[in-house]
This record gives sequence, C-alpha cells and structure tokens, in this order.
Amino acid sequence: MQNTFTKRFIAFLLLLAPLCVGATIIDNTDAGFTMTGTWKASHSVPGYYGSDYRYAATGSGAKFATWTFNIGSAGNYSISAQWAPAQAPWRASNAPYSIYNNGTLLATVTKDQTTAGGQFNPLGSYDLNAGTLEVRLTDNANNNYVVADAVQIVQNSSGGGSNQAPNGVIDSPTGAVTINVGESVNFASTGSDPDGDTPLSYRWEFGDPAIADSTQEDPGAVTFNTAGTYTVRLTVTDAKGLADPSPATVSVTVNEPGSGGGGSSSPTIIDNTDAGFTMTGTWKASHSVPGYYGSDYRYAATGSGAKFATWTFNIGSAGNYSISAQWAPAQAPWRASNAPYSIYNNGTLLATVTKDQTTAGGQFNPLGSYDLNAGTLEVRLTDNANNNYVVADAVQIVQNSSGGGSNQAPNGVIDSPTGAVTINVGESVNFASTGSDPDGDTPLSYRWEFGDPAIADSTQEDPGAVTFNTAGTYTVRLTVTDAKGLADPSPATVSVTVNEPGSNATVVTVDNTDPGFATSGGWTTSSSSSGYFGQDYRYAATGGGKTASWSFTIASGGKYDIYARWTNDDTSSQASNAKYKIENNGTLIATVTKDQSEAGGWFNLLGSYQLNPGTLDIKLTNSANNSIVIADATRIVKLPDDIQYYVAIGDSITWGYGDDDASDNVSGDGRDMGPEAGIGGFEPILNDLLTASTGLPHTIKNEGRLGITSSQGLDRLFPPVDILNRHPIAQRYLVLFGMNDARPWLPVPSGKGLTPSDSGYAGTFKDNMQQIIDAINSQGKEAMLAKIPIALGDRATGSTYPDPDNGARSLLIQEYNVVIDELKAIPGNNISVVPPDLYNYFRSRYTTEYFDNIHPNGVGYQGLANQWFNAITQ
Amino acid sequence: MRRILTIMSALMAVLSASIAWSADTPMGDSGRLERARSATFAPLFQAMKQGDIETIKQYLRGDTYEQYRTLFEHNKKYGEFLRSYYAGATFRLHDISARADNTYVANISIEWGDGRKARFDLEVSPPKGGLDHKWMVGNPTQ
Repeated sequence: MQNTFTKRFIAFLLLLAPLCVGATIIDNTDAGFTMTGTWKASHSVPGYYGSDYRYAATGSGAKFATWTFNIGSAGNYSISAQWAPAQAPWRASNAPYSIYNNGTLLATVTKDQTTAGGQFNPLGSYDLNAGTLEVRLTDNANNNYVVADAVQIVQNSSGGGSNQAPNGVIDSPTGAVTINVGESVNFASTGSDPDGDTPLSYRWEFGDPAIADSTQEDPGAVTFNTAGTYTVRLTVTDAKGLADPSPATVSVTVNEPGSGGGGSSSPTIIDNTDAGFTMTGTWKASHSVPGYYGSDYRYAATGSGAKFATWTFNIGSAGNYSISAQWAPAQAPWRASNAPYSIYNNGTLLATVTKDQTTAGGQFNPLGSYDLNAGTLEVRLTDNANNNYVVADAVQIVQNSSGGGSNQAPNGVIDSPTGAVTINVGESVNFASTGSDPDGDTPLSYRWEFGDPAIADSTQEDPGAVTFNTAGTYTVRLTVTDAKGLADPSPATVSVTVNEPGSNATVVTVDNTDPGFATSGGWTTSSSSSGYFGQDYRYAATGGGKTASWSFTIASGGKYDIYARWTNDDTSSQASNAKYKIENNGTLIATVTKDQSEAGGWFNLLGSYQLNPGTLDIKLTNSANNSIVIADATRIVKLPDDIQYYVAIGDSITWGYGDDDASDNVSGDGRDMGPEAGIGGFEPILNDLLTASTGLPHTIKNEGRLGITSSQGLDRLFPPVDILNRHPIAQRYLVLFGMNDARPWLPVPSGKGLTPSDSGYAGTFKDNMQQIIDAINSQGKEAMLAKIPIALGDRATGSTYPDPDNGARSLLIQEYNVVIDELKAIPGNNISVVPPDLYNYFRSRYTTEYFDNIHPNGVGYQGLANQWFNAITQ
Repeated sequence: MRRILTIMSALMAVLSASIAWSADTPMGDSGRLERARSATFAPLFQAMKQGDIETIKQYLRGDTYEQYRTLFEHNKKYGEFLRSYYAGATFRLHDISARADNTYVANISIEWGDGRKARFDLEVSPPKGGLDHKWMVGNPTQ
C-alpha cells in the first residue's frame, strides 16, 4: 500500500515538474498554432488538451499543422505533444512531428496516436538557439487520421549547449552599385560570432559564373566583364561549421557602356538651391561641413519619414539613366548611415536606395541606373534614417542610352459585351473597346479576332454588331498596339457561345479567371483545395463586405439554369450558408443559400429562372457562417422555350443512392449534379422517356436528399434551402417521402384516416405530406405522389427481415401508402396522376432490383422511372 | 507531518481520479458501456416504451428535436402511439463505437413480443460532463 502510494505521489510530482520549471503550451486554439490545408475541429474523442483538437485525413504531407514558439534564450528544451487518441484505423500509429529551430530541421519524430492520450508525450530534448521553434505535424502517416492538439516545451537548461550562428556584414560596397562592363567593385566584409567560435570562414559568391568564388574576408577589387545584374552573397561560417542563416547580399548592375545608341550624355544636376528642388518639412540650410555641391546644403534631423526633399527632373526622352547624389559627410552620429533615396518615374516607385552619408562626400555617389520613361523623374530623400541628420544637397542624372527598352505596353479593355455571351446562330453581338497607353504613344491600333474563321478580323476600336453564323464557342480577342509597335501583352478576351436555335445544350461558364469575374474586397487566389474549375479559385473569410461577381450577357431572353461550383475540401471551414444573389439587368430576382461544406467539385444548381435579355450578374457575398466562402465558377444553361420542367423531391431514393449503372448518366438530363457526381437515379431515365414520348424537351431537377423524412422534406421547400423559389418555372413536382419516417426508432405515425381536426394528426406523415402538397399548389404547380417501396430491413445494410412485408419498417410503410391514396382522393389537392405503386412493384422484384435493403439498383431505378412514366402518361 | 500527509492524500485522490479517466477508451469498454446504459439508454428506452415524451425530449440532440417538434408539441396522441408501437418490446444497447469522422453510433435492437426484431445504429453525441452524464441521441443511420 505504501509502495503504491509512493509511486503515485512520485508520478504526480513528475506530472507537476514541467510546470515548476516553466512549461509553455500552445494549444490548437492559441495564436501560435497555424494550419495549412484542411484540419477539422472536433471534441468528440476525449484525451485532448483545452477545448478541442484538429484532425486531418492522412495524405501526401501537403497538410500540416504548426506550433510556433518564441525561444527567448538559447538552451536545452524538452518538447512534447498531446492528442486525442483512438484505436486503429482511426488514428495514425506514425504521426510525424518535425522540429525546426530558426528554420533548420533538427529532427522528425513519429508518434503513435492510437494511444497515450490525455498527456504530453515526449518528442525529445533539443539544444535550441534563441529565435523560433516550430513543431510541425504533417498528414503523411498511415491509417485514417492524424490529430493536431497541443505542444508543450520545457526549458531544461540555458546557454552552453547551443551553438549560435555567426553573422556576416558587407562593408563594401555599402549598397547596390552600378558599373559598366570591365569596371571593378571593391568588396570587403566583417564577420562575427556571438559565442566566439573562431576562426570564421568566408565565402563570396559573385553571381557571375565567370568570376570565381572568394574565401577572403576582404576580396578587394573584383572586375565584372559581362553585362547583367548580379546578387553578390557573403556567407560566414563559424569554427563549428554553423553558417550564417541569413547571408548578406548586395546587388551589382553591370551595363554595356553606351548601349542602346548614342553613348552617355552630359550630366544634369539639380542642387538644393535650384528650381527643381523642393522640401516638405523643415530642412535647414548650412555650409558648415565641406564636401557639398554648390553654395550650401540642407539638413534635417532624422524622423518618421514625414520630411522629405525632392529633386525633380524633366525626362525628355525615354532611356537608361544613371542617378547619383552628393552630400556633405560627417562622422556618425552626425550623419545617417542609411539615408533613404527613393526613385520615382512618372509617379511610379522604381527603387529605394540607402546611402551612407558618413562618408564619400565631395562626389556624386551612385543611386543606380534605371530605364526611365519620358516625363518626370523624382528623387526623394526622406528623414527616416538612423543617427542624427540626413543631408539633402544635389542629385545628378546621366543618360546612358535612349529609346527602346523603356516603352510601356498599351492596354485594351472590352467594353461590350461585359462578359461571356450566348446567342443563337444568326444573331449578333455588339463589340466595343477602349485602349490606353501609359506613356502616351498614340495613335493606338486595334485588332479584333473573333474566333470564327468565317468572320474577318476588325481593326476598329468599336467594331459594332458582329453576326455569328456557325454554332460553337469562340474566344474573341482584342489586341491593342501603341504607336511604337508595342502590343498589349495580355490581350482582352470574351467568350461567345453560338447555339443552334432550339438546342438545349447551351452552356456558358464564367470561371474566376475569366473577364466576367470581378471581386470587391480581398479575395485570395488559391489552388490548394481540390474540385475547382479551371486553374484556381478565390476565397474570402466570412464577415461581410466582400463580393465576388460573375457577369453574363443574356442575348436571348428565356429560361435558364444557373449553377455554381466550389471546392470539395475544407468542408468543415467552408460556409454552410453561402449567399448567391442573382440579378437580371440589375434587378434582384433571387437570393440562393447554398451549403459549400458539401457537394463541392461539380456545378450545383442555384435555380432556374426566366431571364430577360441584357445582363445576368451572380454575386456571392462573404456574409456567411464558418471560416471561408469559395468563389470558383458559375454556369448558365439556356433551356428550350418549350421545356417541360419537373422537380423531384424526396430522400435517398429520389437522390439516386445505389444506382451504379453508369449508363444512366449519359442523358441530357436535368439533375442538379453533373456527371462528376457519379449518381444516376430515376430522373435522367424518366426525362428521356418523357421527351421521347411527347416530343417535347423535359428537364427533371433532382432535389433528393439522403436520409430525410417528410418533415425535413417539408422544411426544405422553404428558406434556407428554398426549393419552391429556386424553381419558379417548374410545372410539376414528383414527391416520394416515407422510407425514413418509418424507421423503427421514433417512427412517425401515418395519420391514416385522420383529418386536421383530429388530436393525433399534427406531425404525422399525412400532415407533412398534405403541407407539402399545399405548398406546391400555392405556387400554381401540381404535386404527384408515389407510394413508398418495400423495406427489406431496418437499415440500408445489415440483416434483412425474415418476411419483408411484416418487418417493422414495411408495416408502417403500408399505412403510409394508404395515406397516399387518401391524399390523392382529396379534390383540393389537384393530384391528377395516379400514384405509382412502388411498394408492390419492388415487392416482387427486390431480389434482382435492390441495391441494399431499401434502395433500388440501376435496374431498379430504370423500373422506378418506368413506373413514374406510366403513371404520368396514363 | 500531519499536514503533509493530508496534502499527499488529497493529491493522491486527484491523481487516482486522473488515472481512472485516462484509462477510459472511447469505445469498446464494458464499464463505459454500462455507464452509458445507466445514464442514458435505460431511462430513454423506458420512456420510449411508456410514451413519455417529456423524458424523451431530454435525450434528443437539437437537430433531431427540431425534426420531431410538431409531433412532440402538437400531437396529443404521439405518446399513446409510441406505447402502442413498442408494446411488449425489449430494447437493448449493444455497443457504442466511433466512426471515421469521429462521431459515435450506438447499436440498438428492439425485439417485439411477436418475434419481430429491429437492429440499427443510432447517431449519438458523447456526454460533455463525463461518462455519468447523458449521451445525446440523434437519428438512425442509413
């Protein structure tokens, strides 16, 4: 007993020990925790730290969670991690944690997350340098999931054991330098090591492959013989072999002397007393310190950057110019060693160069060479430097070459149409544009290519109406060229789809990279999730104030299906109530809420609407729940004018669960999920049957939903799912509920024989179905009911009833089917179609036409479609 | 010395409780199953058989309650319907297991006096206050 007590007490003390010496814990809800890829939140399994944990399906290693600690002082640290365990295969037995110190990988440790939850488990002890510690868990493990919960560090000892990195500083040149081919630059450096691990070694890499690396601390003069811009890098390594993690660099630009013709011109100098010199804030005049240009100089105390002196040059012709500045130097701290000069050409910042004003007075010191456009050059010195003063004296420019390389490209914008457009063969589209050129090289020339070889190119800025006589999808391209012959490198494009009249295959898609797409607010471009259309997608954090919009030109009024697509990852963070506003010619015709946490990766039907010619705008806002809203692509499909429009509502049997017969996916049906969904169901088959039988085009929209009851089906008719308002052009509804009402757990009473005034009526199958019929009728549509198929068991899979007719579920279904007859018989329900008896149909066929205990297979869905077809065409 | 012993005893009690909790596994533990049975399923099964709507309500998840709101709040005969439907039936909780998405299902069977049997999985949410508190019950799985 005493032994047990002692062991427990020691164990408890050990448990407390880390806390006694300063444990730091970052939980998955803390600021130091970040994720890349989808990591879902959960608190289902106990053993986690804090309020919850994150988990990710095992994968390629592309997903990772990172705990980042600030290591204030070097020392030896113990690192440990906690998780919420579960048995295999629900947890990885080799979850990989990688330990990084200041970006250097120290170790990767795999941990078995199937066990040892509720505690911090050691990842090892490491000598860490001051800076950052990152513990990174990646998803490349076995089994199903890795869990990211919390990481703890405990400092065991300080100093000593950890080697700190050396540092190298380039003393010469002090900043970017521009020379001509054949000239030299003097290189010198200083190295240091915080823990004195000398001697240090040096490695200079000069960027030009023709120049050998140097291992001298001060290589001295190095000659560059090839034109180009080189990044010279100095890496210092200590005696223990640890290299400076941030090597010093300096840029060297080497120009061909007089390249581009003409050679160098005479310099133009603006002194601080000249007209081109202006000041903002107080800059005092002085001539106390020699080395200045002209009669004096100006100086200002170092500050926030609010004071600046500007030298403004008129650049008469484009070309390459060398810019240099002079000052009156003084030793530190009386001069800044990092006086910032910014170079602007026609208002565009080209570079900011810092110069050391403690030295090199009495001469013009290079600020670099730049390709400048004609217009203005401003050299601006600001006061946000170190030390006491910055000096504004004189700036000099020298033209090295003229013309050529500095011409900026023009830009062309298609004003009409404003987005992708769909027309019928023989119809026209009006084209108009606007061209511009940043350096005014006019007149501009225009070239329209219409994609259809039968249509001649146009060189008009506004070609006007262009008629397309051949069906197809064309990319119309506008290229604008300036007076110097430089063309817009990114010609504007717009898509034109031309259909045969009466075709029901009119499809126009606007992706987030197309001209018809625009955003307001910040929407991040990404391709990290899967299931997007085109090359990438956009997303925005929820919160409101941001809009993504897709614009279409509706050349022909009529009935259109409208679809949206989003990604199929990040299902826990993608908004379940993303709001799409649909506007036709600026008038809001619908607001559709879609759940982006499911059904990603294909085009989901937003709704079908009658549209007038003009514009269609689909606007997605970020006013939703969850973390992010996805803006990917939208699509419109023009329906034939004589379309016969049905909506199928129901549970998984309407959805098509169990239909693995790929041949059902080939029709031009009206399912709201594309072939990518891999589902079939009876809808496409019935669509074909009705179309063939009547000679009229049909569409049957699939609004089935897995696992729902009649009560939930009733709710889905109204917002937020809002089926009724998303199908305003529907004529008939195919209704099939009841399979889930009849589950033996809390079954729904049938309501057989009851009327609304009966006390046992409310909430029954009959009540729910009557309300569904009423809602459909209230929109002027007709409801068609079907009797529920037989159930072979209590759930889809598992054991079957010895006698399916007498199974708990089927007994109730039989009552529901009596109710179907009762509802059909009520004149006010306006049900003209005799409900197909799916119970008796499948009762004699389930052995060959059922996928499982409750769902038809491909053959069964064919039979189900036949039953609907026979009933409708009676 | 007495004070030290008192403190050590208190610490040991805390430690014992900690060890007992960490020994729990999320599934398949018979003690855990028994505690779920006594805290949740036995009284829920009893309420189902008796048509005790007020008690049943206390064990349902919010989304499931919404699905049954009309029946619970406006159908005065739903309790009577349940008593009739489950007359002579025996309920059993066989297991609680975790699924791939970290949700849980309880495997339930119902056996009627005439020999009819039903067996299915029920979505359940673990108790937030410890194993002796209520599991919240959702819908049967497909």
